[in-house]
Amino acid sequence: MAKPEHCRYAKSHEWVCVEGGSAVVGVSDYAQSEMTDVVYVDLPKVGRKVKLGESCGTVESVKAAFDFYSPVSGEVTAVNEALAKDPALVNRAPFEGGWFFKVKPENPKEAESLMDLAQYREFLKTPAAHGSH
Amino acid sequence: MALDEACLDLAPAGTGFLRFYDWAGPAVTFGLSQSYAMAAGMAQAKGLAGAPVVRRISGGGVVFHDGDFTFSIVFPWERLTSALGVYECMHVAVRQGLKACGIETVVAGPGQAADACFDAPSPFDLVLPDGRKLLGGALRRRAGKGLYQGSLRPELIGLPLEALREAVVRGIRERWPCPWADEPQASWLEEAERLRAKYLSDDWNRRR
Repeated sequence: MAKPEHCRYAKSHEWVCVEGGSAVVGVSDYAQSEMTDVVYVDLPKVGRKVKLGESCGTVESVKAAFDFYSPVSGEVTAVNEALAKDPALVNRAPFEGGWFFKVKPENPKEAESLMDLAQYREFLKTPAAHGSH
Repeated sequence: MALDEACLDLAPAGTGFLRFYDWAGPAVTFGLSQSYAMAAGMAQAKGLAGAPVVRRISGGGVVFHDGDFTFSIVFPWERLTSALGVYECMHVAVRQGLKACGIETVVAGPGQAADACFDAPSPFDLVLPDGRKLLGGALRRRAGKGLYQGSLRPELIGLPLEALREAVVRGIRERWPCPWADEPQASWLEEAERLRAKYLSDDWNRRR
């Protein structure tokens, strides 16, 4: 399972954890808390080629649906089937049982351009990360 | 529904667009992840068998469009923030607009969302002081923009529709001081025409 300190983070709040030739993707603790109670996750199909920053699915919570974006480019090799039965895993365990999908990265170094945990924590303190409406 | 999605996708970042629309006849829309069978069953129970039953790209519940006042708002939602917070702000804005017309409303407190939009107030719906639900809506966030799709029961307040439109515009534009487009651009309408097939398709409407 992914550990927050081993992940890289996109400004759109997805995390990616690259291990060997596979990258696991999910959304951050901050993202799940802002989305509130997740009731459904629409994941990309296995075999789909996704691009860095491309919208590749939706997370639905009470009243709202959110696009999420792939933090790396590559081919989707697996999706988290458990989310179909228990989407609230995203809220309870965003780095463990609440992962979204796995990708065979086109370029394993792509993830390195994303923020590490310390940088992401700093990013969360900036107005660019979150604001109010 | 197609034009709403086209506006969400093509409205320039940082701008807003608010539009009002009517229905050719009774219709039913339901939330992105809801089941078609459930929505169709609820439509039948409501006496709307035969009405179009269409999946939205927003969340939320089943809405019966049988005399409601509907509008949609594309707005900047650049940072990921709480949907309930955005939803509350929308309804505070409309409340302010209605207040200027002498209509008192209340933003509902936290509670449980119902499967059908007007069964009971959901958190932060706009309700009358006696608790009846006046306005509910649903949201979609995509690429730093938000789409709000709202449904209001005009018969509960008796305000002329033109005054109601003005109240909504005033409230929303005061709350979101961004540039607002007055009309959809030709490219948005072209995109809506392309998306129309999606909203007529079983692939979309019956995907769950």
